[in-house]
Amino acid sequence: MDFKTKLGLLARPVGSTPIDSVNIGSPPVGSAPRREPPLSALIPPTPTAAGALHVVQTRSPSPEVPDASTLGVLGLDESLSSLDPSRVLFLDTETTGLSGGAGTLPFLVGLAFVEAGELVVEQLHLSGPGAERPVLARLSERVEAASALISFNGRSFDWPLLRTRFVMNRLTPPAPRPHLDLLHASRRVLRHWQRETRLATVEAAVLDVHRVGDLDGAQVPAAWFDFLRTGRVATLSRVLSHNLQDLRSTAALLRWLGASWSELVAVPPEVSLGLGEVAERARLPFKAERFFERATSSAVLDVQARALVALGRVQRRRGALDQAAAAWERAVPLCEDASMIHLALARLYEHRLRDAHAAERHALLARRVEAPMVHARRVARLSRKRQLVLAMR
Amino acid sequence: MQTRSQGPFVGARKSPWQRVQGVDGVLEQWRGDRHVGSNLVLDEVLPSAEASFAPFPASLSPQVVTALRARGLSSLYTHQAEAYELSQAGRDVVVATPTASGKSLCYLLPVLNALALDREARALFLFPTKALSRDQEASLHTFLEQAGLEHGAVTFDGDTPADARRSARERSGVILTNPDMLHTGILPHHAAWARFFSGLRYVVVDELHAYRGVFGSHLANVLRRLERVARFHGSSPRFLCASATIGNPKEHASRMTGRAVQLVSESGAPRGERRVVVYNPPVVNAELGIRQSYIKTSARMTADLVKAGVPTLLFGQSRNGVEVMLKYLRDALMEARVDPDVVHAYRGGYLPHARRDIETRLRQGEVTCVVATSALELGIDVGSLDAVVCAGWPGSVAALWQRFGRAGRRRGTSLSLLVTSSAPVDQYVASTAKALLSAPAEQARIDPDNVEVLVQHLKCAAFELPFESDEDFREVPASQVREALGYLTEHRVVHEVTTPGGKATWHWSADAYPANDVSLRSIGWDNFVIIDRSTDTTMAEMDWRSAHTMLHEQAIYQHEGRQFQVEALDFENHKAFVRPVEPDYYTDAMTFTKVTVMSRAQETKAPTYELGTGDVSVVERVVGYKKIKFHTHENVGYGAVRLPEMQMHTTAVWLTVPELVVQSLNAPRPDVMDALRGLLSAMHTVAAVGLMVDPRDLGQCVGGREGDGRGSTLFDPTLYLYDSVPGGVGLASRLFDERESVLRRTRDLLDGCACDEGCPACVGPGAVDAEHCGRKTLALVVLSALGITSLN
Repeated sequence: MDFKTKLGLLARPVGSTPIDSVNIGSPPVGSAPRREPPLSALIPPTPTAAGALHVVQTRSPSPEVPDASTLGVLGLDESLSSLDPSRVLFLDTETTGLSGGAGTLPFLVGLAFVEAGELVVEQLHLSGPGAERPVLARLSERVEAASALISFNGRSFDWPLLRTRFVMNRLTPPAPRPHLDLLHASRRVLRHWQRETRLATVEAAVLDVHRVGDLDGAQVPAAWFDFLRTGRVATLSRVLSHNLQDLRSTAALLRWLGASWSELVAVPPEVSLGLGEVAERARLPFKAERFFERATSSAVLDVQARALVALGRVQRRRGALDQAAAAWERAVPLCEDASMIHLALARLYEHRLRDAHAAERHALLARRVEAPMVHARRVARLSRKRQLVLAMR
Repeated sequence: MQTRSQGPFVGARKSPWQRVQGVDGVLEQWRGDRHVGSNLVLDEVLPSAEASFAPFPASLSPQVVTALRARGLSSLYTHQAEAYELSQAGRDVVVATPTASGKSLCYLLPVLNALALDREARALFLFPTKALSRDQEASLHTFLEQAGLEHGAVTFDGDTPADARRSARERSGVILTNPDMLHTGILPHHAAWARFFSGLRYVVVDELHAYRGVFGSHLANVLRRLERVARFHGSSPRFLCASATIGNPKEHASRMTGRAVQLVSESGAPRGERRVVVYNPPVVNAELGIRQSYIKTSARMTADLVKAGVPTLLFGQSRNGVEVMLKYLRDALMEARVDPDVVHAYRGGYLPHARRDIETRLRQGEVTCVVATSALELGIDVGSLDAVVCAGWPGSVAALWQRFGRAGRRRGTSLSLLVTSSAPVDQYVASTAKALLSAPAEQARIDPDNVEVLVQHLKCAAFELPFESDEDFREVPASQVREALGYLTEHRVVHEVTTPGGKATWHWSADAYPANDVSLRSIGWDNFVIIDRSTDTTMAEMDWRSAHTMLHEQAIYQHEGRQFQVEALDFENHKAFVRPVEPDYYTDAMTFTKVTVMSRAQETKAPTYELGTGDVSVVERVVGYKKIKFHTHENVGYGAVRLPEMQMHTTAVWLTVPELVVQSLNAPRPDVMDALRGLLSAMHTVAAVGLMVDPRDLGQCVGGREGDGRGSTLFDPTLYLYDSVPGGVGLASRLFDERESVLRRTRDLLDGCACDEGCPACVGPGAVDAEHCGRKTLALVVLSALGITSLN
């Protein structure tokens, strides 16, 4: 049996999922490849030194980019806090899959930057596999000129993938830039409010943007493969607007996060809790205390309790011991198991406030989180101290 | 002889004249015992060998020499020096010397030398298991330290923490990993490994013999991909392989790597005298050919050795076997008032430090006996022991010698004992035990060009780098690569693009990560798990193919001597639910197999028979089962089974018995067919032993000449032996090449078997029916009619 016959006997290979989900017209032909995919119908090519580049620029009024120190806090990254915020570059790619690796191709590289008060979205579109050089060359220029990259999940996905493309094309990747990934930044800020932190969920919640007729991200790879095999660009144009929207939302999200941090917009108490936690990690106790204070008005008991615990923590640290004790006392009835708070209160009353009576009361309620020996020693010591105080009176 | 037993049991040695000591003492005792002595089917000695040394090669870097001296070495064994010199001449090398002859140094020297000369040099070490790479990593660290090299060596596998991965890629001089991780975790991400690949100088393939059959065919393709990726990053690494003794190390390594590999097989390591003994436990049920339990026997004989103060290693076939023997052994020692803690189990799942601990205690004599599965077989150092006991045939001559190689001191006699089970292959070995010492080790077979395997790796390769129009895939010519890419294009996983220069290129174009869909080890891939409903625990796993016959609903599943009934089979989810029962019967699945010849590659015609090989289609379906009563073997009932059929294309070898010959036998046709089935079963046993394959990897079926299996109206009955792996891994063509020997050895097997009319060791138990000529007799008549006579 010859090789070809044997091939014919094989089962359909795994991974060869038909792409019928996006088929609109006639069935695709697996026939001869065309020399020049008619991407030009969608985006006319621009000649560049590295070859014809299919690029489209869209301008819109720019949302304000927060100052550098705010960027540093949002990213919890020192290297962001001393850069030029007017030269940040937003980045979002559309790819042939989410698995990463050498075989995943970013076919649309979306960039955005601020120019003369406008947000310029620049989308670099691949005309076909093996034609990446003009795209990578332009990308390289933009990255070299930028002070930082800002993306949504780009740190672990888009950027490593783009670096791979440089290597695959035997090009030197541009020097690394500080990278603010808003997936992580917004997760930190929104974690007590939004369980899910996909861009679409976040933009609906905080930006009140509700996309109509937007292409589902899961359909993006199929749109590219359909274009490759049939030359149809209709779905690709939907990918373009999807990517445009993603970039604008990323920029708007950054503005909103910056404004929330700078207390320029009102935010729900649950968000204040997240902001307070960021402030605490950034070692800004007064700002943290303010956010935690606001968060205590949450109607969600768990959020309220966390806010009170955190509030007490920053207050104790700055020496406002009575306030701290009061915050923790308020948190106790909100928790199903307040043993940890009782333990913290027991320590606070014993060592800082010197109130053995209150300390003992709380220590007795902390039994569940202490080793039996430690607990017994604490209770015995406090009982002794209390009696000593009584005796002295 | 020194005694090693210590502690409260020392008091038992009050009458030393009652207790034998040492290997020789135990052997004398066995030979003198008429129940034991008469079953020793082999008792021979292999002479010792002197060491042969070579000075440190002049080109060896001073740093490496320093490290060697720090390890107390002042010279090399000749084979180590030979391997080093070959590598310096730019050759690819395979070292195939006996176990414990210092094979690792053969590949470590070239690698360390390269690292010492070049800060950017890199090496990749492949081991078949994670445990082995962890072990080697530890010893490599010491070596690098002694040589003052700062390259680092990191094991990169599924357990490597994320932060360590980055530094492994960027800085480590040596990456130790397994083929699976290379396949799914490294090659598809090669761009992130650019620095590693561009400095890659050596690829070490240790335990090369472990890569045979499907696994080996996959690895050969992974190495093709590796070479392609290395070329992209501008390097062309050399291969250094180490193998246990197999029949064709040079050919196997060359097929694996696609290079003209140089063989180093003359060991310079010293060897003490070795006594090789095979014990075949006595028959307890003549009618069924059932023998005394080899598990119990092995434990008893090991106990004899331990009691006599002989440090012993006992190999079992499975984890469960090890557990059972451990218990028997400890019981026997308690009875003899020997401290049972001198026995230790040693399993593959142990963490390195636990294994180190056992190794140390063995060396110090606190432990005198270790019971192990094959984990030990794979290059882990337990020092030298005085005796090895193998409970059951380990599957091949090569595997047997590898286990036996674990015993053997430089001076004095060591003992290698094989205890055979009732299984056909074991009995075949026992009946030909005299030939064991001179038996050539089996050949390891792979077929990297198996279309099924090849196409899967072309997919992975296309993901890693686009294919160019005139690109070959190592031995696969560009024209075939193009055809395969055409096939993948049709199925829309790759896409053809014409470059501005007018050249065709193929790019991966699917939303998938192909390596995740390709498992290098077909077993463990789609296994069924067996769940005991009475305890709600998973008790075992079974491969997909066997599950059809062993785990259908109502089947009696036997496990560690206990019976379970399959209550439900969740075919979709690969789960079988069983419950312990105590039936007076067992079940035997009835499989309908149909083999259809699709193309004839080679054929020979003898005057009385035809032999051929080629591509076949095999359709198998379990249609029902028989209930067979224990002891009497009466058929006490039937049941139907509904399972989907299994179809595959593979390669087969066939023997056609012309109708004229059938008629000349003057026997009822059903009897002839029965005898032919028996004959095929004997051929299957002979072939499995000769090819170093798991008997399950070789299927058997009796059909017609065209293989269309037209029920009882068979014309020109034909015996088929086929490769159970879709596409085949070359077993059939190998069998065809060895046809004369297979037929003659089948004849010898039947002639030499002591049973009356068939037993599991030869043609299978015959029907107890005095009316007709018995199965074995008729099978011999068939062989004579075909002109196949014994040479003896």
